[in-house]
Amino acid sequence: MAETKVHELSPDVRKTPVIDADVHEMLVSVRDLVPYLAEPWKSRVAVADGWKNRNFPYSYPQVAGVAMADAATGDGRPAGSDLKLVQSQLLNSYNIEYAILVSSFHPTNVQVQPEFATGLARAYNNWLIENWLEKDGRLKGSITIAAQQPEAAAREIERVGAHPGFVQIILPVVPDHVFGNPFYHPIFEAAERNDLAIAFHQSNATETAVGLPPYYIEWHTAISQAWQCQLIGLIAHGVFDKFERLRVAMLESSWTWVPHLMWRFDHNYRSLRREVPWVKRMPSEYIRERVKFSTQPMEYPEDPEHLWRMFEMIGSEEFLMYSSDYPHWDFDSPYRALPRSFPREIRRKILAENARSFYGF
Amino acid sequence: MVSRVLRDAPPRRYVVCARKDLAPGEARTFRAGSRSLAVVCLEEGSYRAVTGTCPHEAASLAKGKVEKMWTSETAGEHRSSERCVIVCPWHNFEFDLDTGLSPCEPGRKDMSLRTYRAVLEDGEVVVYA
Repeated sequence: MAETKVHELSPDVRKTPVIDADVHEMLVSVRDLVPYLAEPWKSRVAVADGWKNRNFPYSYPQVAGVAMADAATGDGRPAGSDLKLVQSQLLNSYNIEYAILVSSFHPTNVQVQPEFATGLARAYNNWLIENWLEKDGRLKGSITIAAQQPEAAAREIERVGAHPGFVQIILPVVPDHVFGNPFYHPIFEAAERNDLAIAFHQSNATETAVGLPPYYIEWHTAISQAWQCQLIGLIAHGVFDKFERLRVAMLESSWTWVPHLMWRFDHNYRSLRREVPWVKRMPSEYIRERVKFSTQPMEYPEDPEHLWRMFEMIGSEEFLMYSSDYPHWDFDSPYRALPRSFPREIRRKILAENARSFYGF
Repeated sequence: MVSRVLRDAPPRRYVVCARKDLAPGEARTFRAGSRSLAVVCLEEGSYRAVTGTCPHEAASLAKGKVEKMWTSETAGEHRSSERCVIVCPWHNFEFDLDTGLSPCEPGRKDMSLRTYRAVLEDGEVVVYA
């Protein structure tokens, strides 16, 4: 059996700046938002036994919780909640030119009181600006919204979209509907108007095609299905036709499923175009031209050459952006994640240039 | 060389059938020499002739459906256009009856049909192929 090899990049490549497309800033607790919340929502969080976000449903064997152990703060605060630790462990250690902060706090998943969810999103954005984006210019942020109120979400995008720290809007890959639905189009319209990308990431509410299977390893292996459904939905509902400048990032979805999806979707389009005649081009064309994916979690076939062939099958050298997923337990190092089966120039593009082009740095 | 000579040769005239034997909206297979063609009568009464088998898996296109191509500029709305397509009976691939091209992949030569002139002459459907 061939040995799966990962390699350090050569020293000159190591000096290449890195753009990290998926870094998670964390609240110590939702009470951090109290100073940023307006009434009537403020009291509902500040009060004893006030509102708390929904928890991740699985327990699983861990070294230091959801974080990699060395990112733990040591004082009970969650990993990713300490700016100085993020700076020293990630930004300075890996020559990170820019890190895209992707919130794990998703008011879109709040299933009650939509106005409260919108209030939480507004408070989170203010907290993010003050405590992260304005503290280090290498940090770029994702606008948090409550998508269940699309018009209010669009107003929130307008409110903070001009801040130079924001580069995209984050949406969780939800299990029960697709964001391609015209109900959500005010969000895409606001994204395009403000020249911001739309990004999708998993959340505590993400489910597989069978919902929540009993074991975490089942969920963690199968959840790319959730991104696939959202991506298919964007194309089938004509989002890329209606918003011709809209850019989309699929973060932490893995990416080796993309060739399969493109082939199947294209084949179905040849057969079923008549059902969705507002879709004007082959689905794979939208994916190649408008959608980026992030590297983490990398997959490791026994022969690294196979991974490179999967990359080639997608037909674009620009589709993939390096991501670490710092501070989570499955962090990928920029200098270790990409096998040498990837040509040097392609590794350089993945490490920084594809994200630089996508986000306009 | 032989095929080039055949391609460059002037098309031959083939009588397909009497007008009454190909009603508007219908298609039928016709053999022009070694070639199998699908000959179609559109709803408004004009005729089209294209390669008779689908380039995908060689299903007989005349067993498919002739329809005005569905188009739309807005998600959720369907508009019947002036373009006419033949829809393959297997997999439902569409081909434009004027150009032979796939509406999905007009740039793909290997996913297109050859088109032939089809007209009504003295009460007979005639194809030049």
